[in-house]
Amino acid sequence: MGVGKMVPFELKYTAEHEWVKVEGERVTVGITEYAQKELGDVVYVELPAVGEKVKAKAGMGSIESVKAVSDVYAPLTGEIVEVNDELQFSPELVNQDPYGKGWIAVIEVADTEELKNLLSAEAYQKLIGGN
Amino acid sequence: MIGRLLPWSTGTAAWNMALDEALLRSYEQGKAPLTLRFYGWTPPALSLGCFQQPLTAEQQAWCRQAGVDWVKRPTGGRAVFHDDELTYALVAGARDGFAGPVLADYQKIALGLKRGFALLGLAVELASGPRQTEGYPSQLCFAASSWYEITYQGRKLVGSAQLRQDKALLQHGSILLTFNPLFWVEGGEKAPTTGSKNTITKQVIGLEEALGYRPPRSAILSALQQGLGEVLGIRWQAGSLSAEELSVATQLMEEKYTKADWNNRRGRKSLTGGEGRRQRRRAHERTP
Repeated sequence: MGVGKMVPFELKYTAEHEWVKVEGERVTVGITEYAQKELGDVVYVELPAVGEKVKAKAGMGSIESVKAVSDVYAPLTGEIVEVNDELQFSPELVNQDPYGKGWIAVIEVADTEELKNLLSAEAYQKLIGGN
Repeated sequence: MIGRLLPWSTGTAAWNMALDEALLRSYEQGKAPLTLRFYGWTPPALSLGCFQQPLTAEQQAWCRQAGVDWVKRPTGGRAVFHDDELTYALVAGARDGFAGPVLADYQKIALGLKRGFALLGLAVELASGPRQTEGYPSQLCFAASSWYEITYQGRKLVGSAQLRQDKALLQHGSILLTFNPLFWVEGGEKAPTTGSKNTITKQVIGLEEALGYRPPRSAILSALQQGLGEVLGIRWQAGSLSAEELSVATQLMEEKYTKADWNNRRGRKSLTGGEGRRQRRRAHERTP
């Protein structure tokens, strides 16, 4: 499978299966198409709080799918400046539109140097077993 | 593959949840192998999924009066009343072949339990999709069967839930020996009605009713561990808790699972942020 709908080229990724859309010091974060398929039907999303400080690779929220509770990790260190409240009412958006309406939070990044640690679409595609 | 089999034990609701979480941490940190334990609940207890609405003051009063403990699980899902049952907890992870997807790992464990029931002479089924009891929207786990839940003649026999952290998972579940619908309905819901009691009774079954007799606990445990071992390719070795696991479990019991801040609130994050911050810091310290 090539880089495309499954792993959008313009986004960055983490090994924990989060995607990151970088817009200066603010990044939008969600979980990838691969991750939502691995989890199955999402029934609840516990969001971080606006104003909360998060650290790269540390848990910032949780997702409950039909059979399991899983951590959502912060891809970068910073402060949560916006969360997708819509997920409290429609958690299934994470399955239906993981790169769009299923976004989870916006982080104001503390140190943009950390962006270098994120994976490119190609690297992430390789990680999940694509070509 | 070698797995650690812990001896049967009974504990309070808070201790049982604390120990399950301590075992998950121990495995995650590479300090323990894949581990299986079976346990009971003393006193009987209601456990709630971590994202369920907490018990109301009225329900808590009912529990106190009935001598029923309550706890919020680290796992999701719905409420379970633990009384005449055997509970299992399996801690495993990617290094033992449990690398996801969630449902695939869930199915593997369910097939192991199914083989265990077959060794007892019971041909159980694995549910093939979500089923909600018609006309009975419920917060009770046993009122609905989901993917790969174990049923007997269409009635739910085992209810399970999973917590995944990084590359490790904890799955625990209740294997009913007998089913008491009154307790379930009164303890889990507001007001029991004859209709709802009758409905849930038709959807749930205990092992004793399914088999037509009650085997000794040792025979059930032996069959289930053998079934899980055969299907998952595990050779069990009797083991015990490490001093560190005991210490972590004790701390979790005292600081988390006996606290109203955890039990009487929806979600995994702490109001004060203390536990949440600690959890997040630990997660940060983990080797990916």
